[in-house]
Amino acid sequence: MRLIALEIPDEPAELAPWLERSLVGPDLASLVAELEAVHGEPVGAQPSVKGLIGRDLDAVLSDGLSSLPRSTLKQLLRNPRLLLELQELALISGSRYWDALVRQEAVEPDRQLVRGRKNLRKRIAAVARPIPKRTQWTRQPWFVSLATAATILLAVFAYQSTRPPLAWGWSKPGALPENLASGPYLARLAEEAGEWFNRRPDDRPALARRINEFRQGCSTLILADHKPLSPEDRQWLVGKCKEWAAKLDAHLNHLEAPGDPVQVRNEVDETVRRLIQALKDRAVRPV
Amino acid sequence: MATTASESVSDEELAGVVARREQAGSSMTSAASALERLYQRHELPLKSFLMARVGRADAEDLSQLVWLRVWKSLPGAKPGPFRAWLFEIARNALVDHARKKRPGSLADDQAGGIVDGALGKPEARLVEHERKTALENCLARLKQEYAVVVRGRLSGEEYDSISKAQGIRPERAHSIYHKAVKLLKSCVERVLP
Repeated sequence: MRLIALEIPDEPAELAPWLERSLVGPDLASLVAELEAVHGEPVGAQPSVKGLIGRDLDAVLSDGLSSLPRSTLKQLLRNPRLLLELQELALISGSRYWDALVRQEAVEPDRQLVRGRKNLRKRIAAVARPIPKRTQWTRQPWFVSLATAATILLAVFAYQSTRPPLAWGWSKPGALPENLASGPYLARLAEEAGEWFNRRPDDRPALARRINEFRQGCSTLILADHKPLSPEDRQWLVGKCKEWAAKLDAHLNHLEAPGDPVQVRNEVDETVRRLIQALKDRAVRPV
Repeated sequence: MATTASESVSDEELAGVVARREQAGSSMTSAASALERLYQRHELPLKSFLMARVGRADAEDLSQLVWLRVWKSLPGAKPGPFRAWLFEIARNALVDHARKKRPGSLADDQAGGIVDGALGKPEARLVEHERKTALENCLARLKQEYAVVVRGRLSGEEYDSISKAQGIRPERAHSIYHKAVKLLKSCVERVLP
């Protein structure tokens, strides 16, 4: 296992570049935790980054830490939570220096961006609905006699086409009750997942929306607290949710490729049946 | 980042396209495309920010949540500089995330602390808490001389100044540090799976 703080370079000149990479890399949380383990938690009033770095801050934001005296770098190491504050300032600055460093330290940045953009596109498609626009012909005088009826019809149409989709499954209000024991709670989640089968869309846009709604339910579960569950069950559930979310993303990818949407729906059915079974099995597992 | 030479459309202009998507003469497709360009420009810094606060596993989901909030909020918002506004949304999402993780036990100021690191307790991030505890325990088991050198090095002290303070030769300080690193790594590996 890597202990990030112990990788501090021997060479004094390497300290600033190493800290910069640590600030934007994926292991900053570990570095802060390790430095706190070594130096202890802060006691009393702590300096702020702006107070510590002072007038050098602009140079730091545009050109990195190389302009800082070594004594300031030492202060940052001894007060590791300042590293989080400094990271935020550096990232918000959006300077070319820090943005280039972020890209350099990211793990497979291009793949990350392509995958993330694809997921975002699907989620936006799920929430974006066209807004009906008024058309000129409804204002023509010779339509006056029909105006009232047309208005009512348009209002009904507009309401139906713009109202938010009814929440279902894990996204509906009260889907995650806090007053149940662990077993019944998991059984309830299984039952709610079964609401997938209540609608059977067979065209691509409707099926994509339905899968996205289920996928959002997975995010709800991943981010929820699950008070009725033990830490072990909670960890199991979140781990499983992440697997299911990945499968749903794969189904959406499949749906976007040429092929029969009903075939994709059948595949999603199978994923949902399995996850329901996993939840039911866990619900009756002996403690 | 407002604009770069290769990206002649500024963040604020792109945000404007997203914001006006429901107005007459605007298009949902160009709004979605503008959002994707903003995503392309700002996602990596955003992810870096989130990872340092909630870990890698949750950062992906939270990032998507933040971008969805951007999409939903822009029509009624006056965001100013886009990057700063994006991070404000991210901070709010982190506070919500922290509250969900520890409902009832996290006051508003503590939830905010998790975001800015000023008050955030490592317990909010279980993995980092375990790492911290393991390292503390292992450090306590080291010989006093070794622990002093490790603390000095991780404060940014050079071997020369550590050796002067401890009355040992710089080579000895160097050797002690690297031995201590090996001992700490193997100790932490025994404690953490």
